[in-house]
Amino acid sequence: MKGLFLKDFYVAKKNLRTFLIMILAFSLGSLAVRDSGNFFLCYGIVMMPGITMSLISYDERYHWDTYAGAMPLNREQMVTEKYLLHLVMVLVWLPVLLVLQHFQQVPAFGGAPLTLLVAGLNLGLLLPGILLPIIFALGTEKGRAGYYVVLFGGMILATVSEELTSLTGYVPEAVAGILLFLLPAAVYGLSWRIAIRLYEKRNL
Amino acid sequence: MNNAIEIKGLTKHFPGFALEGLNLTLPSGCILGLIGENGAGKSTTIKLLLGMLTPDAGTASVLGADIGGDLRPVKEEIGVVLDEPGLPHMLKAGQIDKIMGSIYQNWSSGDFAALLRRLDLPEDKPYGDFSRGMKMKMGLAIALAHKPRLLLLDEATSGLDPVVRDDVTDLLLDFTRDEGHSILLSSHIVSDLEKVCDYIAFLHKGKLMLMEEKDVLMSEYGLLQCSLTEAEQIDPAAVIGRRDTPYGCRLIVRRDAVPVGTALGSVSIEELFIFMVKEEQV
Repeated sequence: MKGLFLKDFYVAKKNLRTFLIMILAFSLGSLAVRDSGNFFLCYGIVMMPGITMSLISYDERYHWDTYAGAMPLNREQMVTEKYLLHLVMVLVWLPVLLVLQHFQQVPAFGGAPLTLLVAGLNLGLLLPGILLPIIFALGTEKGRAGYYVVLFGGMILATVSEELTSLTGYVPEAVAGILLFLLPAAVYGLSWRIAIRLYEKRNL
Repeated sequence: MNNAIEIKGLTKHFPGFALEGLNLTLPSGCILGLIGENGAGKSTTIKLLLGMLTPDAGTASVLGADIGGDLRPVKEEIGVVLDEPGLPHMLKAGQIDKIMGSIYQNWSSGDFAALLRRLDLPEDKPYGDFSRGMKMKMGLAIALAHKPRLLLLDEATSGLDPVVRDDVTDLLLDFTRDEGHSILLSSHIVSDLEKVCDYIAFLHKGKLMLMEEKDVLMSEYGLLQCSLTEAEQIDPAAVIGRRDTPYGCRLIVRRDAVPVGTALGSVSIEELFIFMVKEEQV
């Protein structure tokens, strides 16, 4: 799997500089603004699925996905490498967010580090957790429809979020906190297994 | 183990195309040329052998491993060049060396560097700036640098100029000097296959029309140029293919089925393939 990481590193270094610059610019921008601190701080982690999706898209564009099928690699390794890569990016970025939050003029999320971690994990893992199996099953072109479905679902969720918030009163705060930590991990883990099964069935 | 590849009744259906009940054997130490027009099923066959597609029916084994099982160990011993080169465009030779060295256990950086020199490939130029011929040569260098026992080459010579094709041919002949090395080479450029192959298989619209030793094929069939009247006197069972021209008739016939003493010219594999395909279309 080391060869796959190495290949993605070279591709990202050359093709995804814009992503990296945007993430850095918004993150550092979070130190300069008084309002919208949450948005600026979380922008980077919201953009990270874009990096992962772009790497998969480049694999298809260069026909690497087909070529890799001829190498001593199995489908599980190909899927796992992308999931691990994304997870590492999110986990490496979370401490950076905490440092930035500390130095913000008006600290995001009321200055609560745990809330920031929960938000970061959910933003960083839920969207790819839903999208990646669709993309591994259908490819990035057809899987783009999945992106809009997730976006539409997110909008509906945002609309009914007030009603959902009222339900949290029935759940003890500590339990809700643990659930919010576990949810993205569970979704991401389940998504990984599903993506492997779907990719194993796909014709390369 | 006597056969590098054994295929029995391999079938794969796609919308608008089907590979039907393919039976094929590649003895170890030999080169098998898979000839067919575009869309005949050559790439499908190679992808099935590599486990990139799942067959609908039939079985196959590559270097003794069933294609339904875990092919990772056996893929260490297979070099592959696909018709679409699959490397990211920004990669240079040194980076390709590092990536492949991390993927293949038997990867040899020394062999890779020697192959780059032999094939006249630049080390400091990104892969995306390569010509089609250079890309194919890079594919071949990668395929050979991990010391494979079997090469699967899908249209590896198509789109190459004659000089590059000659380089590739030399490389393949060098590879098969070792008796344990085998090659399955698919192409629609028949002249390349005619130069290097021990066995020839014709694939047409997903069906195997013929598989035979090249020398047997060349000696079994002959080209008869005659008038239309003379052509009518030939036993139809002896005729493999026929072309009428304003000056007479060109027939490909089975040598043992025409009267002794009939003057027959030699037939090329390309002529044989074209005549057979056109005869089937009549």
